[in-house]
Amino acid sequence: MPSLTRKLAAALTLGALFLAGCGAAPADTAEAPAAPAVVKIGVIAPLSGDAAAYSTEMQAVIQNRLAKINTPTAATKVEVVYEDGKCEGASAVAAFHKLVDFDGVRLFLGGVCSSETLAVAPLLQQAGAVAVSALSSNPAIAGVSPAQFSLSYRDDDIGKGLATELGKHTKVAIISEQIDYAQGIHDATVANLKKLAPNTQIVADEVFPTGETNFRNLLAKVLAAKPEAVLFDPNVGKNAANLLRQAAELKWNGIKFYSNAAYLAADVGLAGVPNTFSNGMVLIDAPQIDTPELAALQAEIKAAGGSTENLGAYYTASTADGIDLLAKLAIEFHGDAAQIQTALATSTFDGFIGKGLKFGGEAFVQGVGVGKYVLTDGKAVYQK
Amino acid sequence: MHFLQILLTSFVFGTQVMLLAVALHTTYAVSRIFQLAFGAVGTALAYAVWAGGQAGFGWFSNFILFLILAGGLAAAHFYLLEKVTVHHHTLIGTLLSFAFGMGLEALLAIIFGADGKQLTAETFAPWHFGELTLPFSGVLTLAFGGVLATGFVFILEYTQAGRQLRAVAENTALATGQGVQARRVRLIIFGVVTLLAGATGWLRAWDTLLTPNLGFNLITVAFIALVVGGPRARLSGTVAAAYLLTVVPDLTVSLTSGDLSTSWKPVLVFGLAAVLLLLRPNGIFTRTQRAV
Amino acid sequence: MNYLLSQLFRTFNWLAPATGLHLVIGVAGILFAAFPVIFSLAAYTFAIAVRAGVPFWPAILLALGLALLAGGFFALLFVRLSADSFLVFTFAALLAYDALLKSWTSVTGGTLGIAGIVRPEWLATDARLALAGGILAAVVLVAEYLILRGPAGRALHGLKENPVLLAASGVSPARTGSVVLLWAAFCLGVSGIFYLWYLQFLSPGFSDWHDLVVGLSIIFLALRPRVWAIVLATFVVTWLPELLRFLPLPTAVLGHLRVLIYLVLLIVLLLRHSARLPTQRAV
Repeated sequence: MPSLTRKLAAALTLGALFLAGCGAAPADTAEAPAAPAVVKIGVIAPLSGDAAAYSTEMQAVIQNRLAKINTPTAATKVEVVYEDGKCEGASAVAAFHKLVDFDGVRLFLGGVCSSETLAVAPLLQQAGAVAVSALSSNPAIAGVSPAQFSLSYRDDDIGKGLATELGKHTKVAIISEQIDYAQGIHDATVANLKKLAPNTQIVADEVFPTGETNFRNLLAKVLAAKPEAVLFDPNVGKNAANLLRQAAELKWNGIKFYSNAAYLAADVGLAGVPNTFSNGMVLIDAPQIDTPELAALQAEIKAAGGSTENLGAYYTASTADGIDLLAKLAIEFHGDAAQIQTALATSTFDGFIGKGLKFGGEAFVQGVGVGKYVLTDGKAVYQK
Repeated sequence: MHFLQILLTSFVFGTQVMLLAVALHTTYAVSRIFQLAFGAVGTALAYAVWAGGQAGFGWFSNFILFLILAGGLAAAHFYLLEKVTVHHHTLIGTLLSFAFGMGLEALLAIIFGADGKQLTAETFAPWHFGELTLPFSGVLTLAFGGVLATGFVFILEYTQAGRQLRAVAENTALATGQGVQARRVRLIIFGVVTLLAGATGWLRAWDTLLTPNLGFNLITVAFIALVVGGPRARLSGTVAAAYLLTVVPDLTVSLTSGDLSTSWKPVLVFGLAAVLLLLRPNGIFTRTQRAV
Repeated sequence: MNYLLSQLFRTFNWLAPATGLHLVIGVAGILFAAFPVIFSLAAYTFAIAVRAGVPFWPAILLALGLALLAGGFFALLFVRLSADSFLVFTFAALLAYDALLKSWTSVTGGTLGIAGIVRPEWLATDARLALAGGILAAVVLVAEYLILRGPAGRALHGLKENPVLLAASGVSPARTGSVVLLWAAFCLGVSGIFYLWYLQFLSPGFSDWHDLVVGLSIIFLALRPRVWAIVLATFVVTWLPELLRFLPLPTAVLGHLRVLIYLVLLIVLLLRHSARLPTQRAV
């Protein structure tokens, strides 16, 4: 019996604590008659797991922008609330419910991974919310919800760029990681290859699970298929360099290499990949942004102890633009999600990505395009 | 030649799994508990080596750090499970070890981050045997694996310590009655096996990439190999099962064209284990006893 | 209020599989690690069937049918294999199922999953969802109470304590174990479909290792074969991570810390459970 009393007491305490917190939650109203003192923006991002490196850097960018937005004289302050989407849909939905129902958030910067965004987008309208993703690139996002926007480039543009390059060969192989980003690039590349280069044959199409670190048999299988070109399509991170390092152990004899953003960030040579192997690898990704404003932003973040190495130039810009845009519209429209949604769909804006940008009623920001890079001595060099 | 290349690379992975399976088999013998935490323990020790390298330790200092941490982890693991071992709560013990291992992995992810680390910045040229290629880490794994496996068999079969271990595994009460200190035998086994797990983690990390769940991928297959080989049977069954469950799926995936890529391997491991378990529920080399 | 309702629903929805697993693991002593598979399988079957144009109620029947089939498959293996082998088999099944979901992209959507699943009209609001979850939980709890009080409950106890004696008293241990696994599969299937309606999204992460740890935590916290124990345990375990939201923890470690806390809880519960079990001669 004493243990029963203890258990009941524990359960009641938990319940009381929780209800106390629930009671403190902001009122669940969609409109405010006057400018609110605080506007909340929810960020759904992978705070744990392999993609957490993105979130850490995103937070540094957001903190930098918030310092500019929340000046001492600002009438409305912007507060950011983070929740862990774990780079997968079910967790993102749980995060969304918590932010909407408990924190009263109606404006979202997120998801980060396409699977997070795809999961949350259908729920936005019924919750009276609007979301701008800085990183989600899967074309399936378009059309899921009029309340979901993305500042990223589209995977099908990357796929088109890769297919254009791969179409120069008659036999190609693709090695993809089993994650939403790589899966999106893979599907877009294969679809565009069929359209643009119907004579190009995919002689090997290998997928490895996330977390796999031994690729030697997979690489040997791809090599045995005798491709003329290989597309390496892993997720960004140290494992991408590991894949390339293991590939360098085999003899590829004049086979051309292509890839996505995975090798843009760090100096691939430092990761133990010999330059003789990686030199000439073509990377297709977002266009380079080398404006002084972005350089200054990145320098400020670095000076504050942060990093934008994994995000790269484009996603640093899109994250900064995302938070700036949402904050500006939130202040202007007093946090009214419906008006913010209309403004996003119809207005043009200037940001780190570029000038005169617009969504034009679409989910993705228009006119971003792609960029081509070539690995030279371990570093990605932009090709104009 | 492609077949031989695949076989050679599979043997390296098979050896890493075999080493952990031997660790599981040995500790199961003295405790009747599946010590699933050894995957994470091996990973933790590999991180220790990496951290020592980052801190500028020489190889000897790093080795001492490895030994000290191995001792600490072995003691923690042992004392966590000793009571349930002694009271024969074997399924509770298995779950405890599983939870300890996963907790250790979560802790490693918090401390070191989820992104992978290269164990050493030094690169060694791969070895070539005709047209076959094997990275230096792979050569070391095969050599190490052979030496360790042989050493284990020798100790078990031909030394006093091995006889004591087998006595405790066979009948703890009787062994204790004969003067064998079962608790001390178990503690020593935990210590030795922790070193083995650490060596395996280090080899795996060197061969691939150091991540918090490096040991998880190995221990899951090792665990399946132990049961397929027969946990109460001879070590040879476990060793054979470890190689079967790594080499066969690898060969199947690598030698078939079409949609069967690496991501399907766990399904193949499951299918093979299911078939073997259904055909030989007591272990692949175990004969059926008289049914009454 | 919506957050409270959605949390209540999650707790009620956990009660259904928790009671089934309580009978399987806690009372009968069958260590079954593949329950996330059945939970997810029912959800995927329903979602794929509806997407393929199967009407609502046939899709539900199909999903539950497949969940029962999976339960039957595991029941067959339970009869044929030893406890150790059965544990390994169910453990391996969890790994294989996850790989299957991610690799069979043409059917499951792979890592991108299946989005935009529509809730039935009668579950349109969180309040209705919580109510439906509560009714489901009540039905299953009543069933558990009746099972535990009756001959079936005694047979389950016997299966854990002494299967040989159980067989000698004329009750088949194989049939007892199989029936309880089928019952658990049914509970898992129903709650899987309800959870799908709650999330309105499906991906391989829908049910995984985390649910295995949560499920085991509930079972071992419940300890006793009593309905109130399982209700209390489910509430404590499902509400515990919500408390973490109030703590000022660094966001980078929040996810891993939640996992760590669950695992520490599980370790404490297991040690406590072990201390209460009858001790055998200690050597």
